[in-house]
Amino acid sequence: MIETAPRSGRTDRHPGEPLSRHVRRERLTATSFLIPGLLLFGLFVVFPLTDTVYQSFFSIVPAGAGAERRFVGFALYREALTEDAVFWGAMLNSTLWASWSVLVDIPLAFLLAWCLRTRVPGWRFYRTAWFAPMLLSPVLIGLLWRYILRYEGGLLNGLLRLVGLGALATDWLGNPWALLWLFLATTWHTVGYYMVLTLTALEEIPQDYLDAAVVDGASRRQQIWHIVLPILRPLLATLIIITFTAKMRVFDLVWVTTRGGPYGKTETVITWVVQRAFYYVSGQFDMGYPSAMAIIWLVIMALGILILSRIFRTRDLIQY
Amino acid sequence: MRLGRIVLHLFLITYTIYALGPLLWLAVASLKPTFQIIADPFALPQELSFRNYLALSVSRFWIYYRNSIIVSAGSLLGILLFATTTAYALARFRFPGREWIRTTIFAAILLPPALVVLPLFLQMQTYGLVDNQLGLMLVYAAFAMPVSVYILRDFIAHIPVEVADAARVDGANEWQVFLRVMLPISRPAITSVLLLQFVAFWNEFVLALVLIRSDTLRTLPVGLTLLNTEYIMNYGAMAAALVLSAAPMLLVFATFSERFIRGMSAGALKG
Repeated sequence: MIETAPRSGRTDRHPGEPLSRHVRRERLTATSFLIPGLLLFGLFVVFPLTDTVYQSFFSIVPAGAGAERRFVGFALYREALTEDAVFWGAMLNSTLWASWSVLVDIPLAFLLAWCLRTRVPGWRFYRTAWFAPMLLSPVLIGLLWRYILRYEGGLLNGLLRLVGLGALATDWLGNPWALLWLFLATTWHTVGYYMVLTLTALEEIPQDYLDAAVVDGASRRQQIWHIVLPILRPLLATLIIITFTAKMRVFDLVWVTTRGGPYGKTETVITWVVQRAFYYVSGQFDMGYPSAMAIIWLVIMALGILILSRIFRTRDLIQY
Repeated sequence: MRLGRIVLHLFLITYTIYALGPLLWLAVASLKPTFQIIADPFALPQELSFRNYLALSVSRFWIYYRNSIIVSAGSLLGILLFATTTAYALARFRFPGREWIRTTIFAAILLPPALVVLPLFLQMQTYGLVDNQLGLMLVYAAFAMPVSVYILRDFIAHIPVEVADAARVDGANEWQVFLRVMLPISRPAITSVLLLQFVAFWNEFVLALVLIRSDTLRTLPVGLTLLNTEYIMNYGAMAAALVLSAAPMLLVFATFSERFIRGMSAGALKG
Protein backbone atom coordinates (compact mmCIF):
# COMPACT_ATOMS: atom_id res chain seq x y z
CA MET A 1 0.00 0.00 0.00
CA ILE A 2 1.33 3.38 -0.95
CA GLU A 3 1.41 5.72 1.99
CA THR A 4 1.20 8.98 0.14
CA ALA A 5 -1.15 9.48 -2.75
CA PRO A 6 0.48 11.06 -5.78
CA ARG A 7 -0.19 14.73 -6.14
CA SER A 8 -3.14 15.45 -8.27
CA GLY A 9 -0.96 17.43 -10.63
CA ARG A 10 -3.53 20.14 -10.79
CA THR A 11 -1.78 22.66 -8.59
CA ASP A 12 0.88 23.39 -11.21
CA ARG A 13 -1.45 23.45 -14.16
CA HIS A 14 -1.80 27.23 -14.30
CA PRO A 15 1.25 28.72 -12.58
CA GLY A 16 -0.12 32.25 -12.71
CA GLU A 17 -3.17 31.62 -10.57
CA PRO A 18 -2.95 32.13 -6.83
CA LEU A 19 -2.39 28.87 -5.00
CA SER A 20 -5.25 29.27 -2.56
CA ARG A 21 -7.82 29.24 -5.34
CA HIS A 22 -6.38 25.99 -6.62
CA VAL A 23 -6.40 24.47 -3.22
CA ARG A 24 -9.95 25.61 -2.73
CA ARG A 25 -11.04 24.24 -6.07
CA GLU A 26 -9.29 20.95 -5.43
CA ARG A 27 -11.11 20.66 -2.12
CA LEU A 28 -14.40 21.44 -3.77
CA THR A 29 -13.87 18.73 -6.39
CA ALA A 30 -12.72 16.27 -3.75
CA THR A 31 -15.86 16.97 -1.76
CA SER A 32 -18.07 16.28 -4.76
CA PHE A 33 -16.43 12.86 -5.10
CA LEU A 34 -16.54 12.14 -1.41
CA ILE A 35 -20.07 13.11 -0.45
CA PRO A 36 -22.04 10.15 -1.84
CA GLY A 37 -19.74 7.50 -0.40
CA LEU A 38 -19.27 9.16 2.96
CA LEU A 39 -22.97 9.79 3.34
CA LEU A 40 -23.69 6.11 2.72
CA PHE A 41 -20.89 4.95 4.97
CA GLY A 42 -21.83 7.40 7.71
CA LEU A 43 -25.52 6.57 7.72
CA PHE A 44 -25.28 2.80 7.60
CA VAL A 45 -21.96 1.97 9.23
CA VAL A 46 -20.63 4.78 11.41
CA PHE A 47 -23.92 5.88 12.91
CA PRO A 48 -25.07 2.38 13.99
CA LEU A 49 -21.64 1.88 15.55
CA THR A 50 -21.65 5.13 17.52
CA ASP A 51 -25.25 4.44 18.47
CA THR A 52 -24.15 1.05 19.82
CA VAL A 53 -21.58 2.78 22.03
CA TYR A 54 -24.21 5.25 23.23
CA GLN A 55 -26.89 2.63 23.87
CA SER A 56 -24.51 0.49 25.89
CA PHE A 57 -24.83 3.01 28.73
CA PHE A 58 -28.60 2.78 28.96
CA SER A 59 -30.75 0.07 30.38
CA ILE A 60 -34.43 -0.62 30.58
CA VAL A 61 -35.41 -0.63 34.24
CA PRO A 62 -38.82 -1.18 35.81
CA ALA A 63 -40.46 2.12 36.74
CA GLY A 64 -43.93 2.27 38.21
CA ALA A 65 -46.31 0.29 36.07
CA GLY A 66 -44.08 0.12 32.98
CA ALA A 67 -40.41 0.44 32.26
CA GLU A 68 -38.09 3.25 31.24
CA ARG A 69 -34.65 3.63 29.78
CA ARG A 70 -32.18 5.01 32.23
CA PHE A 71 -28.50 5.94 32.12
CA VAL A 72 -26.59 3.29 34.02
CA GLY A 73 -22.96 4.08 33.26
CA PHE A 74 -20.80 1.00 32.94
CA ALA A 75 -23.24 -1.23 34.81
CA LEU A 76 -24.06 -3.32 31.72
CA TYR A 77 -20.38 -3.85 31.01
CA ARG A 78 -19.94 -5.05 34.55
CA GLU A 79 -22.95 -7.33 34.23
CA ALA A 80 -21.61 -8.86 31.02
CA LEU A 81 -18.15 -9.40 32.45
CA THR A 82 -19.05 -10.59 35.92
CA GLU A 83 -22.47 -12.22 35.79
CA ASP A 84 -22.92 -13.65 32.32
CA ALA A 85 -21.52 -17.18 32.14
CA VAL A 86 -22.85 -17.64 28.62
CA PHE A 87 -20.94 -14.57 27.44
CA TRP A 88 -17.72 -15.93 28.89
CA GLY A 89 -18.39 -19.33 27.33
CA ALA A 90 -19.04 -17.62 24.01
CA MET A 91 -15.84 -15.58 24.25
CA LEU A 92 -13.93 -18.76 25.05
CA ASN A 93 -15.49 -20.57 22.09
CA SER A 94 -14.74 -17.72 19.69
CA THR A 95 -11.17 -17.49 20.92
CA LEU A 96 -10.74 -21.27 20.62
CA TRP A 97 -12.09 -21.01 17.09
CA ALA A 98 -9.55 -18.33 16.19
CA SER A 99 -6.74 -20.35 17.79
CA TRP A 100 -7.77 -23.54 16.02
CA SER A 101 -7.70 -21.66 12.77
CA VAL A 102 -4.24 -20.26 13.38
CA LEU A 103 -2.81 -23.59 14.59
CA VAL A 104 -4.53 -25.92 12.11
CA ASP A 105 -5.72 -24.01 9.06
CA ILE A 106 -2.59 -21.99 8.39
CA PRO A 107 -0.09 -24.89 8.71
CA LEU A 108 -2.39 -27.02 6.56
CA ALA A 109 -2.62 -24.25 3.98
CA PHE A 110 1.16 -23.96 4.00
CA LEU A 111 1.57 -27.71 3.56
CA LEU A 112 -0.85 -27.77 0.63
CA ALA A 113 0.78 -24.75 -1.02
CA TRP A 114 4.21 -26.30 -0.53
CA CYS A 115 3.03 -29.44 -2.35
CA LEU A 116 1.82 -27.41 -5.31
CA ARG A 117 4.85 -25.14 -5.38
CA THR A 118 6.86 -27.49 -7.55
CA ARG A 119 4.06 -27.49 -10.12
CA VAL A 120 3.15 -31.12 -9.70
CA PRO A 121 1.08 -32.43 -12.60
CA GLY A 122 -2.47 -31.17 -12.26
CA TRP A 123 -1.58 -28.39 -9.80
CA ARG A 124 -4.00 -26.00 -11.46
CA PHE A 125 -6.84 -28.48 -10.96
CA TYR A 126 -5.92 -29.02 -7.32
CA ARG A 127 -5.75 -25.30 -6.69
CA THR A 128 -9.18 -24.71 -8.22
CA ALA A 129 -10.73 -27.71 -6.45
CA TRP A 130 -9.41 -26.70 -3.04
CA PHE A 131 -10.43 -23.10 -3.49
CA ALA A 132 -14.00 -23.92 -4.56
CA PRO A 133 -15.54 -24.32 -1.05
CA MET A 134 -14.58 -20.68 -0.38
CA LEU A 135 -17.34 -19.59 -2.75
CA LEU A 136 -20.12 -21.25 -0.82
CA SER A 137 -22.16 -19.46 1.76
CA PRO A 138 -21.78 -20.43 5.42
CA VAL A 139 -25.51 -21.12 5.29
CA LEU A 140 -25.08 -23.72 2.57
CA ILE A 141 -22.12 -25.21 4.41
CA GLY A 142 -24.10 -25.34 7.63
CA LEU A 143 -27.03 -27.09 6.01
CA LEU A 144 -24.72 -29.44 4.14
CA TRP A 145 -22.79 -30.21 7.33
CA ARG A 146 -26.02 -30.96 9.09
CA TYR A 147 -26.72 -33.60 6.45
CA ILE A 148 -23.26 -35.00 6.84
CA LEU A 149 -23.35 -35.12 10.64
CA ARG A 150 -26.96 -36.02 11.40
CA TYR A 151 -27.67 -39.32 13.09
CA GLU A 152 -30.18 -40.78 10.66
CA GLY A 153 -29.09 -40.84 7.02
CA GLY A 154 -25.99 -38.77 7.79
CA LEU A 155 -22.97 -39.15 5.57
CA LEU A 156 -20.44 -39.63 8.33
CA ASN A 157 -22.47 -42.29 10.13
CA GLY A 158 -23.08 -43.97 6.78
CA LEU A 159 -19.35 -44.05 6.20
CA LEU A 160 -18.73 -45.51 9.65
CA ARG A 161 -21.31 -48.21 9.10
CA LEU A 162 -19.78 -48.96 5.72
CA VAL A 163 -16.41 -49.74 7.27
CA GLY A 164 -17.94 -51.68 10.15
CA LEU A 165 -17.62 -48.99 12.80
CA GLY A 166 -21.36 -48.46 13.04
CA ALA A 167 -21.14 -48.59 16.82
CA LEU A 168 -19.46 -45.17 16.76
CA ALA A 169 -22.35 -43.59 14.92
CA THR A 170 -23.83 -40.72 16.88
CA ASP A 171 -25.58 -37.39 16.54
CA TRP A 172 -22.39 -35.43 15.94
CA LEU A 173 -23.86 -31.96 16.41
CA GLY A 174 -25.79 -33.00 19.49
CA ASN A 175 -22.88 -33.84 21.72
CA PRO A 176 -20.34 -31.73 23.60
CA TRP A 177 -17.86 -32.10 20.75
CA ALA A 178 -20.16 -30.28 18.32
CA LEU A 179 -17.86 -27.26 18.34
CA LEU A 180 -14.99 -29.33 16.96
CA TRP A 181 -17.12 -30.38 13.99
CA LEU A 182 -17.97 -26.77 13.29
CA PHE A 183 -14.24 -25.94 13.45
CA LEU A 184 -13.66 -28.61 10.82
CA ALA A 185 -16.41 -27.15 8.67
CA THR A 186 -14.72 -23.73 8.66
CA THR A 187 -11.38 -25.37 7.98
CA TRP A 188 -12.91 -27.06 4.99
CA HIS A 189 -14.43 -23.75 3.93
CA THR A 190 -11.38 -21.50 4.11
CA VAL A 191 -8.14 -23.50 3.84
CA GLY A 192 -8.22 -23.33 0.04
CA TYR A 193 -8.21 -19.55 0.18
CA TYR A 194 -5.29 -19.41 2.60
CA MET A 195 -3.50 -21.96 0.42
CA VAL A 196 -3.90 -19.74 -2.66
CA LEU A 197 -2.49 -16.75 -0.77
CA THR A 198 0.46 -18.81 0.47
CA LEU A 199 1.10 -20.26 -2.97
CA THR A 200 1.19 -16.78 -4.53
CA ALA A 201 3.82 -15.76 -2.00
CA LEU A 202 5.81 -19.00 -2.37
CA GLU A 203 5.99 -18.48 -6.12
CA GLU A 204 7.70 -15.16 -5.55
CA ILE A 205 10.63 -16.72 -3.68
CA PRO A 206 13.51 -16.93 -6.16
CA GLN A 207 14.50 -20.53 -6.80
CA ASP A 208 18.16 -19.43 -6.52
CA TYR A 209 17.76 -18.91 -2.79
CA LEU A 210 16.68 -22.50 -2.30
CA ASP A 211 19.26 -23.85 -4.73
CA ALA A 212 22.01 -21.98 -2.96
CA ALA A 213 20.89 -23.47 0.31
CA VAL A 214 20.96 -26.97 -1.19
CA VAL A 215 24.51 -26.34 -2.40
CA ASP A 216 25.39 -25.39 1.16
CA GLY A 217 24.03 -28.74 2.26
CA ALA A 218 20.78 -27.57 3.82
CA SER A 219 18.10 -30.18 4.36
CA ARG A 220 14.55 -29.67 3.21
CA ARG A 221 13.54 -28.82 6.75
CA GLN A 222 16.32 -26.29 7.12
CA GLN A 223 15.30 -24.72 3.83
CA ILE A 224 11.78 -24.22 5.06
CA TRP A 225 12.76 -23.10 8.52
CA HIS A 226 15.62 -20.74 7.68
CA ILE A 227 14.73 -19.44 4.24
CA VAL A 228 11.08 -19.88 3.34
CA LEU A 229 9.42 -19.00 6.63
CA PRO A 230 11.39 -15.80 7.23
CA ILE A 231 10.55 -14.63 3.70
CA LEU A 232 6.91 -15.54 4.23
CA ARG A 233 6.67 -13.80 7.56
CA PRO A 234 4.67 -10.77 6.37
CA LEU A 235 2.25 -13.09 4.57
CA LEU A 236 1.86 -15.35 7.59
CA ALA A 237 1.22 -12.33 9.76
CA THR A 238 -1.46 -11.19 7.33
CA LEU A 239 -2.97 -14.67 7.25
CA ILE A 240 -3.04 -14.89 11.02
CA ILE A 241 -4.81 -11.55 11.24
CA ILE A 242 -7.31 -12.54 8.53
CA THR A 243 -8.13 -15.87 10.18
CA PHE A 244 -8.27 -14.29 13.61
CA THR A 245 -10.79 -11.62 12.57
CA ALA A 246 -12.80 -14.09 10.47
CA LYS A 247 -13.18 -16.59 13.31
CA MET A 248 -13.88 -14.02 15.99
CA ARG A 249 -16.96 -13.01 13.99
CA VAL A 250 -18.45 -16.40 13.15
CA PHE A 251 -22.23 -16.24 13.12
CA ASP A 252 -24.02 -17.76 10.11
CA LEU A 253 -22.61 -21.26 10.38
CA VAL A 254 -23.52 -21.65 14.03
CA TRP A 255 -26.90 -20.03 13.57
CA VAL A 256 -28.01 -22.51 10.92
CA THR A 257 -26.51 -25.61 12.54
CA THR A 258 -26.75 -25.55 16.33
CA ARG A 259 -27.91 -22.04 17.31
CA GLY A 260 -25.32 -22.20 20.03
CA GLY A 261 -26.51 -25.51 21.42
CA PRO A 262 -26.33 -28.07 22.84
CA TYR A 263 -26.50 -26.13 26.10
CA GLY A 264 -24.40 -23.22 24.88
CA LYS A 265 -21.53 -25.51 23.89
CA THR A 266 -21.21 -23.86 20.47
CA GLU A 267 -22.30 -20.33 21.36
CA THR A 268 -20.13 -17.64 19.75
CA VAL A 269 -20.05 -14.06 20.88
CA ILE A 270 -21.98 -12.87 17.86
CA THR A 271 -24.71 -15.52 18.11
CA TRP A 272 -25.14 -14.56 21.76
CA VAL A 273 -25.29 -10.83 20.97
CA VAL A 274 -27.90 -11.40 18.23
CA GLN A 275 -29.80 -13.80 20.46
CA ARG A 276 -29.95 -11.20 23.21
CA ALA A 277 -30.75 -8.39 20.79
CA PHE A 278 -33.72 -9.93 19.04
CA TYR A 279 -34.92 -12.88 20.97
CA TYR A 280 -34.75 -11.66 24.50
CA VAL A 281 -38.26 -11.36 25.88
CA SER A 282 -38.70 -8.15 27.80
CA GLY A 283 -41.63 -6.48 26.10
CA GLN A 284 -39.38 -4.25 24.06
CA PHE A 285 -35.97 -4.33 22.41
CA ASP A 286 -33.34 -4.09 25.10
CA MET A 287 -30.57 -2.39 23.16
CA GLY A 288 -28.32 -1.76 26.12
CA TYR A 289 -27.05 -5.16 27.11
CA PRO A 290 -26.25 -6.57 23.64
CA SER A 291 -24.64 -3.22 22.77
CA ALA A 292 -22.35 -3.46 25.78
CA MET A 293 -21.33 -6.99 24.79
CA ALA A 294 -20.76 -5.84 21.21
CA ILE A 295 -18.46 -3.04 22.32
CA ILE A 296 -16.53 -5.33 24.68
CA TRP A 297 -16.00 -7.74 21.82
CA LEU A 298 -14.95 -5.02 19.37
CA VAL A 299 -12.38 -3.77 21.86
CA ILE A 300 -11.07 -7.31 22.37
CA MET A 301 -10.85 -7.87 18.62
CA ALA A 302 -9.04 -4.59 18.09
CA LEU A 303 -6.62 -5.37 20.93
CA GLY A 304 -6.05 -8.85 19.54
CA ILE A 305 -5.18 -7.46 16.14
CA LEU A 306 -2.97 -4.80 17.66
CA ILE A 307 -1.09 -7.43 19.67
CA LEU A 308 -0.79 -9.81 16.73
CA SER A 309 0.53 -7.12 14.42
CA ARG A 310 2.96 -5.98 17.13
CA ILE A 311 4.22 -9.54 17.49
CA PHE A 312 4.80 -9.81 13.78
CA ARG A 313 5.71 -6.15 13.44
CA THR A 314 3.61 -5.61 10.36
CA ARG A 315 3.42 -2.10 9.06
CA ASP A 316 -0.27 -2.01 8.26
CA LEU A 317 -2.72 -2.61 11.01
CA ILE A 318 -5.35 -4.05 8.75
CA GLN A 319 -4.85 -6.01 5.62
CA TYR A 320 -7.61 -7.88 4.01
CA MET B 1 12.38 -40.14 -3.80
CA ARG B 2 10.02 -42.40 -5.70
CA LEU B 3 8.18 -43.17 -2.47
CA GLY B 4 8.03 -39.48 -1.66
CA ARG B 5 6.27 -38.80 -4.94
CA ILE B 6 3.69 -41.47 -4.23
CA VAL B 7 3.02 -40.15 -0.76
CA LEU B 8 2.73 -36.62 -2.17
CA HIS B 9 0.18 -37.66 -4.76
CA LEU B 10 -1.78 -39.72 -2.28
CA PHE B 11 -1.93 -36.69 -0.03
CA LEU B 12 -3.05 -34.38 -2.84
CA ILE B 13 -5.77 -36.78 -3.92
CA THR B 14 -6.95 -37.38 -0.35
CA TYR B 15 -7.26 -33.68 0.29
CA THR B 16 -9.09 -33.18 -3.00
CA ILE B 17 -11.61 -35.84 -1.98
CA TYR B 18 -12.06 -34.01 1.31
CA ALA B 19 -12.51 -30.65 -0.45
CA LEU B 20 -14.80 -31.78 -3.24
CA GLY B 21 -16.39 -34.86 -1.68
CA PRO B 22 -19.20 -33.13 0.19
CA LEU B 23 -20.05 -31.06 -2.89
CA LEU B 24 -20.09 -34.05 -5.20
CA TRP B 25 -22.19 -35.94 -2.70
CA LEU B 26 -24.63 -33.04 -2.62
CA ALA B 27 -24.83 -32.93 -6.41
CA VAL B 28 -25.44 -36.68 -6.61
CA ALA B 29 -27.99 -36.58 -3.81
CA SER B 30 -29.95 -33.89 -5.63
CA LEU B 31 -30.56 -36.43 -8.39
CA LYS B 32 -31.83 -39.17 -6.09
CA PRO B 33 -35.22 -39.67 -4.47
CA THR B 34 -35.16 -38.96 -0.73
CA PHE B 35 -35.75 -42.55 0.38
CA GLN B 36 -32.66 -43.57 -1.54
CA ILE B 37 -30.56 -40.78 -0.02
CA ILE B 38 -31.45 -42.07 3.41
CA ALA B 39 -31.28 -45.79 2.66
CA ASP B 40 -28.07 -45.73 0.72
CA PRO B 41 -26.29 -42.36 0.97
CA PHE B 42 -23.33 -43.38 -1.18
CA ALA B 43 -25.09 -45.06 -4.07
CA LEU B 44 -25.26 -43.42 -7.46
CA PRO B 45 -28.77 -42.55 -8.63
CA GLN B 46 -30.52 -45.48 -10.27
CA GLU B 47 -31.90 -43.26 -12.98
CA LEU B 48 -31.16 -39.71 -13.93
CA SER B 49 -34.09 -37.78 -12.51
CA PHE B 50 -34.57 -34.06 -12.11
CA ARG B 51 -37.73 -34.53 -10.11
CA ASN B 52 -36.17 -32.81 -7.09
CA TYR B 53 -35.40 -29.74 -9.15
CA LEU B 54 -38.89 -29.64 -10.59
CA ALA B 55 -40.35 -29.99 -7.10
CA LEU B 56 -38.82 -26.62 -6.20
CA SER B 57 -41.15 -24.75 -8.52
CA VAL B 58 -44.04 -25.16 -6.09
CA SER B 59 -42.06 -23.59 -3.25
CA ARG B 60 -40.83 -20.03 -2.82
CA PHE B 61 -37.37 -21.07 -3.96
CA TRP B 62 -37.42 -19.16 -7.23
CA ILE B 63 -38.81 -16.07 -5.52
CA TYR B 64 -35.82 -16.12 -3.16
CA TYR B 65 -33.61 -16.68 -6.16
CA ARG B 66 -35.00 -13.69 -8.01
CA ASN B 67 -34.67 -11.55 -4.89
CA SER B 68 -31.03 -12.56 -4.49
CA ILE B 69 -30.32 -11.59 -8.09
CA ILE B 70 -32.03 -8.20 -7.64
CA VAL B 71 -30.33 -7.42 -4.34
CA SER B 72 -26.88 -8.55 -5.51
CA ALA B 73 -27.15 -6.56 -8.73
CA GLY B 74 -28.38 -3.45 -6.96
CA SER B 75 -25.65 -3.64 -4.33
CA LEU B 76 -22.98 -4.09 -7.00
CA LEU B 77 -24.31 -0.98 -8.71
CA GLY B 78 -24.02 0.75 -5.34
CA ILE B 79 -20.36 -0.29 -5.08
CA LEU B 80 -19.78 1.05 -8.57
CA LEU B 81 -21.30 4.42 -7.64
CA PHE B 82 -20.04 4.89 -4.10
CA ALA B 83 -16.76 3.01 -3.74
CA THR B 84 -15.11 4.17 -6.99
CA THR B 85 -15.78 7.86 -6.29
CA THR B 86 -14.60 7.60 -2.69
CA ALA B 87 -11.49 5.66 -3.71
CA TYR B 88 -10.71 8.24 -6.39
CA ALA B 89 -11.03 11.14 -3.98
CA LEU B 90 -8.81 9.40 -1.41
CA ALA B 91 -6.21 8.49 -4.01
CA ARG B 92 -6.01 11.71 -5.97
CA PHE B 93 -6.91 14.75 -3.95
CA ARG B 94 -5.50 16.48 -0.93
CA PHE B 95 -7.97 17.87 1.51
CA PRO B 96 -8.14 18.32 5.25
CA GLY B 97 -9.13 15.15 7.10
CA ARG B 98 -8.13 12.81 4.32
CA GLU B 99 -5.99 10.54 6.49
CA TRP B 100 -8.66 10.53 9.12
CA ILE B 101 -11.39 9.50 6.69
CA ARG B 102 -9.13 6.86 5.18
CA THR B 103 -8.28 5.34 8.53
CA THR B 104 -11.91 5.28 9.62
CA ILE B 105 -13.05 3.54 6.45
CA PHE B 106 -10.25 0.98 6.54
CA ALA B 107 -10.69 0.30 10.25
CA ALA B 108 -14.31 -0.62 9.53
CA ILE B 109 -13.01 -3.71 7.71
CA LEU B 110 -12.91 -5.14 11.22
CA LEU B 111 -16.50 -4.38 12.08
CA PRO B 112 -18.80 -7.42 11.92
CA PRO B 113 -22.20 -6.13 10.74
CA ALA B 114 -23.91 -8.51 13.15
CA LEU B 115 -22.54 -6.58 16.13
CA VAL B 116 -24.36 -3.38 15.20
CA VAL B 117 -27.39 -5.00 13.65
CA LEU B 118 -29.89 -3.94 16.31
CA PRO B 119 -29.14 -0.18 16.21
CA LEU B 120 -29.01 -0.51 12.43
CA PHE B 121 -32.39 -2.21 12.41
CA LEU B 122 -34.00 0.51 14.55
CA GLN B 123 -32.41 3.23 12.47
CA MET B 124 -33.63 1.63 9.25
CA GLN B 125 -37.07 1.56 10.83
CA THR B 126 -37.03 5.33 11.23
CA TYR B 127 -36.02 5.69 7.55
CA GLY B 128 -38.82 3.31 6.58
CA LEU B 129 -36.22 1.03 5.00
CA VAL B 130 -36.91 -2.14 6.95
CA ASP B 131 -38.40 -4.90 4.84
CA ASN B 132 -37.25 -3.04 1.77
CA GLN B 133 -34.83 -4.40 -0.78
CA LEU B 134 -33.47 -0.95 -1.61
CA GLY B 135 -32.62 -0.56 2.07
CA LEU B 136 -30.81 -3.88 2.07
CA MET B 137 -28.85 -2.88 -1.04
CA LEU B 138 -27.74 0.39 0.57
CA VAL B 139 -26.62 -1.41 3.71
CA TYR B 140 -24.75 -4.03 1.67
CA ALA B 141 -23.01 -1.34 -0.35
CA ALA B 142 -22.12 0.55 2.82
CA PHE B 143 -20.59 -2.47 4.55
CA ALA B 144 -18.74 -3.40 1.37
CA MET B 145 -17.13 0.05 1.21
CA PRO B 146 -14.03 -0.62 3.33
CA VAL B 147 -12.61 -3.56 1.35
CA SER B 148 -13.71 -2.14 -1.99
CA VAL B 149 -12.28 1.32 -1.35
CA TYR B 150 -9.09 -0.28 -0.05
CA ILE B 151 -8.50 -2.24 -3.26
CA LEU B 152 -9.64 0.52 -5.64
CA ARG B 153 -7.72 3.31 -3.90
CA ASP B 154 -4.57 1.26 -4.05
CA PHE B 155 -5.01 0.62 -7.77
CA ILE B 156 -5.86 4.23 -8.65
CA ALA B 157 -2.94 5.55 -6.64
CA HIS B 158 -0.63 3.52 -8.88
CA ILE B 159 -1.95 5.01 -12.12
CA PRO B 160 0.56 7.58 -13.42
CA VAL B 161 -0.66 11.16 -12.98
CA GLU B 162 0.28 11.94 -16.59
CA VAL B 163 -2.53 9.74 -17.89
CA ALA B 164 -5.14 12.02 -16.43
CA ASP B 165 -3.22 15.18 -17.24
CA ALA B 166 -3.51 14.47 -20.95
CA ALA B 167 -7.28 14.59 -20.63
CA ARG B 168 -7.12 17.75 -18.52
CA VAL B 169 -5.11 19.52 -21.21
CA ASP B 170 -7.99 18.72 -23.55
CA GLY B 171 -10.22 20.70 -21.22
CA ALA B 172 -11.95 17.87 -19.38
CA ASN B 173 -13.09 18.62 -15.85
CA GLU B 174 -12.38 16.29 -12.95
CA TRP B 175 -15.63 14.33 -13.29
CA GLN B 176 -15.03 13.83 -16.99
CA VAL B 177 -11.49 12.67 -16.26
CA PHE B 178 -12.89 10.25 -13.71
CA LEU B 179 -15.60 8.85 -15.96
CA ARG B 180 -13.71 8.73 -19.24
CA VAL B 181 -10.16 8.00 -18.14
CA MET B 182 -9.99 6.65 -14.61
CA LEU B 183 -12.88 4.21 -14.65
CA PRO B 184 -11.84 2.51 -17.90
CA ILE B 185 -8.22 2.21 -16.73
CA SER B 186 -9.31 0.82 -13.37
CA ARG B 187 -11.36 -1.91 -14.96
CA PRO B 188 -9.19 -4.81 -13.69
CA ALA B 189 -9.49 -3.60 -10.10
CA ILE B 190 -13.19 -2.87 -10.49
CA THR B 191 -13.79 -6.36 -11.88
CA SER B 192 -11.94 -7.90 -8.94
CA VAL B 193 -13.96 -5.87 -6.47
CA LEU B 194 -17.26 -6.71 -8.15
CA LEU B 195 -16.46 -10.44 -8.24
CA LEU B 196 -15.38 -10.41 -4.63
CA GLN B 197 -18.47 -8.54 -3.51
CA PHE B 198 -20.82 -10.58 -5.68
CA VAL B 199 -19.83 -13.63 -3.67
CA ALA B 200 -20.25 -11.68 -0.44
CA PHE B 201 -23.68 -10.29 -1.37
CA TRP B 202 -24.99 -13.55 -2.72
CA ASN B 203 -24.02 -15.37 0.46
CA GLU B 204 -24.84 -12.69 3.05
CA PHE B 205 -27.04 -13.90 5.86
CA VAL B 206 -27.35 -11.85 9.03
CA LEU B 207 -28.34 -8.48 7.58
CA ALA B 208 -30.86 -10.12 5.26
CA LEU B 209 -32.23 -12.10 8.19
CA VAL B 210 -32.85 -9.02 10.30
CA LEU B 211 -33.71 -6.31 7.78
CA ILE B 212 -36.12 -8.25 5.57
CA ARG B 213 -39.27 -9.41 7.33
CA SER B 214 -41.71 -10.57 4.70
CA ASP B 215 -41.23 -13.90 3.02
CA THR B 216 -41.68 -12.66 -0.55
CA LEU B 217 -38.76 -10.24 -0.20
CA ARG B 218 -36.27 -12.65 1.37
CA THR B 219 -33.00 -13.56 -0.31
CA LEU B 220 -31.59 -17.05 -0.82
CA PRO B 221 -29.47 -17.68 2.29
CA VAL B 222 -32.35 -16.88 4.63
CA GLY B 223 -34.77 -18.54 2.21
CA LEU B 224 -32.73 -21.73 2.29
CA THR B 225 -33.02 -21.98 6.05
CA LEU B 226 -36.80 -21.55 5.74
CA LEU B 227 -36.97 -24.14 2.98
CA ASN B 228 -34.96 -26.46 5.15
CA THR B 229 -37.75 -26.41 7.73
CA GLU B 230 -40.36 -26.80 5.04
CA TYR B 231 -38.51 -29.72 3.43
CA ILE B 232 -37.69 -31.39 6.71
CA MET B 233 -38.51 -34.78 5.21
CA ASN B 234 -37.52 -34.02 1.64
CA TYR B 235 -33.72 -34.18 1.49
CA GLY B 236 -33.77 -34.53 -2.27
CA ALA B 237 -35.49 -31.22 -2.93
CA MET B 238 -33.30 -29.50 -0.35
CA ALA B 239 -30.16 -30.85 -2.00
CA ALA B 240 -31.41 -29.53 -5.34
CA ALA B 241 -32.05 -26.11 -3.77
CA LEU B 242 -28.52 -26.02 -2.35
CA VAL B 243 -26.97 -27.00 -5.66
CA LEU B 244 -28.91 -24.30 -7.52
CA SER B 245 -28.05 -21.70 -4.90
CA ALA B 246 -24.34 -22.39 -5.34
CA ALA B 247 -24.52 -22.57 -9.13
CA PRO B 248 -23.99 -18.85 -9.90
CA MET B 249 -20.90 -18.73 -7.69
CA LEU B 250 -19.43 -21.83 -9.26
CA LEU B 251 -20.26 -20.55 -12.75
CA VAL B 252 -18.64 -17.18 -12.10
CA PHE B 253 -15.65 -18.97 -10.61
CA ALA B 254 -15.35 -21.32 -13.57
CA THR B 255 -15.46 -18.38 -15.96
CA PHE B 256 -13.09 -16.07 -14.12
CA SER B 257 -11.11 -18.49 -11.96
CA GLU B 258 -7.71 -16.94 -12.63
CA ARG B 259 -8.95 -13.36 -12.23
CA PHE B 260 -10.90 -14.48 -9.20
CA ILE B 261 -8.00 -16.09 -7.39
CA ARG B 262 -5.73 -13.16 -8.23
CA GLY B 263 -8.41 -10.70 -7.16
CA MET B 264 -9.05 -12.36 -3.86
CA SER B 265 -5.36 -12.50 -3.08
CA ALA B 266 -4.77 -8.92 -4.24
CA GLY B 267 -6.86 -7.47 -1.45
CA ALA B 268 -4.97 -9.44 1.15
CA LEU B 269 -1.45 -9.17 -0.15
CA LYS B 270 -0.99 -5.59 -1.22
CA GLY B 271 1.15 -4.54 1.65
